[in-house]
Amino acid sequence: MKGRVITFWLLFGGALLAFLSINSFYGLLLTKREPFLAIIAGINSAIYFLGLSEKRSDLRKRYSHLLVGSFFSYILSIYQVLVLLSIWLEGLLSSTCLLVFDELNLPLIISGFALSFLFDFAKKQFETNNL
Amino acid sequence: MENQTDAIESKKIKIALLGNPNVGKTSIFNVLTGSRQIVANWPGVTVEKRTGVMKHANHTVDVVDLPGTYTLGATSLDERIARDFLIDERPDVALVIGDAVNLERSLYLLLQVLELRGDVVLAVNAVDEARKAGFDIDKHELSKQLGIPVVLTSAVTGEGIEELKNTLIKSAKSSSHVHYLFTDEIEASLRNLSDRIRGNTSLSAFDKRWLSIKLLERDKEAEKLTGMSLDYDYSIEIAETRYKYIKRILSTSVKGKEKIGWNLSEAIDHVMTHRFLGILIFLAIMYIVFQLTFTISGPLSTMIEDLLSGLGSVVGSWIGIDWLRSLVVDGVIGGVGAILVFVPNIFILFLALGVLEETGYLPRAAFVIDKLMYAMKLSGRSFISLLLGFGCNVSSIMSTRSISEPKERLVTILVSPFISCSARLPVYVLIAGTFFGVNAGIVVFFLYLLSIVVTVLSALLINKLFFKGEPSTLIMELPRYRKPRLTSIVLYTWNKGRHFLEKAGTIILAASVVIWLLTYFPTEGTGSFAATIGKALGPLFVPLGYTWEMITSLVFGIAAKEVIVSSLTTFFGNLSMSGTSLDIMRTIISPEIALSFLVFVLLYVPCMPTLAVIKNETGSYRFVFFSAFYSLAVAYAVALIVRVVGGLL
Repeated sequence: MKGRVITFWLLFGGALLAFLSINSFYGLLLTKREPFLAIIAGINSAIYFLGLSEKRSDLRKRYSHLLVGSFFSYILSIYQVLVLLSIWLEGLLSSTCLLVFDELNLPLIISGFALSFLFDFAKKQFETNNL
Repeated sequence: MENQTDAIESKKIKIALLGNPNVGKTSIFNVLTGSRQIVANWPGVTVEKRTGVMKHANHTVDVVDLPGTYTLGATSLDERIARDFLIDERPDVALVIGDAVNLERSLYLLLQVLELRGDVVLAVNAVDEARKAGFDIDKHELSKQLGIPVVLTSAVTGEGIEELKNTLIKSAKSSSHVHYLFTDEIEASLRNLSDRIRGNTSLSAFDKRWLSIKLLERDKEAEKLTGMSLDYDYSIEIAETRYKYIKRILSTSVKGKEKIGWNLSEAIDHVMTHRFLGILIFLAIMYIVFQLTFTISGPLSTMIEDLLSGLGSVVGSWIGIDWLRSLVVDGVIGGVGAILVFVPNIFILFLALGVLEETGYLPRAAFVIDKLMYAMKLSGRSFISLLLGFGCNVSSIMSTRSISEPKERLVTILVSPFISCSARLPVYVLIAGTFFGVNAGIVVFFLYLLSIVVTVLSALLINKLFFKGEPSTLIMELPRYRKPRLTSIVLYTWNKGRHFLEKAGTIILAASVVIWLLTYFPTEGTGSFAATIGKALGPLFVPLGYTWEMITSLVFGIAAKEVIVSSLTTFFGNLSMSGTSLDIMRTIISPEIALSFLVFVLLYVPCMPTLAVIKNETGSYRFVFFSAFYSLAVAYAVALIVRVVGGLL
């Protein structure tokens, strides 16, 4: 991957997570208001954005932000899925469906799983000593 | 004759396992011994001692897992244990586990073992990872150069394990002791010293050459043992010779790709140990851990609660005598059950911490936090001890023995009880769940944050008032990141969590019965002994707004913090975290008083076992009283602030 493409993905990841952070903070789209989750997503966004502050020529450092940032997004989506699972189970015990659309935070889950492909790619670069 | 051979064949063999930390020593120990393990402490110290039995080809082999060390000096407790074991117990074989990816440092320890004794076997572990990284290790060449058997192993894939077992049995029957040579000047001094030691009959049990090397290194224990002290110190020259020798060996036996870029661990560490992001990521991870602890365990706790409630009804219907029914249902099932409801929370917390430890993140957390700790006159090493406190304050205080600086160790002991141990978690979950609903997880997270803040501020204060000087520097190796293995995590979670279950069946059961007796006699309710205790202390707690039930539960909680939950359950009657029967408590106290109570529980007097271990580790009641009164004062002050500020909001 060329330097310019990494810059694009860092910008993309940073902007996406910044949006998800604002989304969770105000409970705008398909999610309820979750300020603390918003802060965590904000930290994830910072991981991507701080990658842009690394020297353009130092691909390794930029890649490492992409690697950790995308893995963190993946972890966040798994976390959200686990939370949903527990809500579903709680409902099951009381014979009511507690899963409502706003609980899902679908944008966060889908983004995390999508970004996991980016993590796989970045990981391969280090494993094959391609940098 | 045949019988005699059998007797020799089946003779018990003792093997000692040595190696640097994080080279997979314990994994090799696990695959050699399977489930035949005993975990205890080394005599007189609280460092964990693991022994196991390996059965192989008609042989029974005792395997002892020594603490991980980098050298065989006598500066740290771990080093001393490993060295003393080799000298005093004289195992048949010393098995040194090396890291295939970082063989240089492993060989440094190996050379020191070779200086001390013969019958040494080298197992080069994680050979699969080394191959992935492009290294090719020639074990025959390595064995020829070192003069000892070398086996390439992988504890993860099982490669080389059978060969290792055969080699160990074979080595136990042989007797070889190889030496490598130092510079002419050092060799001359060694000969001279060896001659002088030979004249001392009391030292006949020791290897003369090894004792001479230690004397040249100005080893304090060797000096004490021989009664000799030299004016010159050759430790640097000796270390240089060892490294030169290692470089020569590696140049012919290890071939690999020229390292061009970073490996995966280095890449991850660039971000995880980043000066700004490092702390933020640490906080984010801790938040996720505590949120998961609270949310996932919710439905599981409800299931246990339903089960216990059903059990209470069934057992209650069997017993006709009123007081006995109350004792069994309210006292025993209610009291112990109130704790068992929180088993999922505890196990999920340890599961999450186990994942963090298995992946190799925890040492990074210590590294990241080291700068902050240094500002508080503590080091990352103290942080590692404090981190253990999230499980149990007792083990946290015991682990401070690895802190070499006495003042720093004492401060760490004194502030350790402020770290929120797992025993306090049930109280948080119960009260926060009752009063703060969906925000309960956030409240619990803040309590944990508060515990860290109070810990560091107390360390700063104690240092400022009583101690001067700089903390020790943290030098630690960051292990490679690893995919967590399910079996290891399950073992870790079970080993840590079962302590909680044992407590429920012993101390909490006993406490529940005592609490029930105090609540039932002489008359049930406000006329009981429990109420008398709470009311007598009531005036002290007027500013905090606590009821007599809360005060009495705090008193009982000094025995073990979980008892607070049992007490509240007994006093308020059938409390449950699902909130179905909590109206009584909600009508008695306001949310700010509930939060203030949580803060008080977090910070007030450490439990009895913690106070006992403070006495043992410091050797003085002075520090026990200091810890008890200081924590009580801090708890009162912070809880009052929370109550007042909360009331204004």
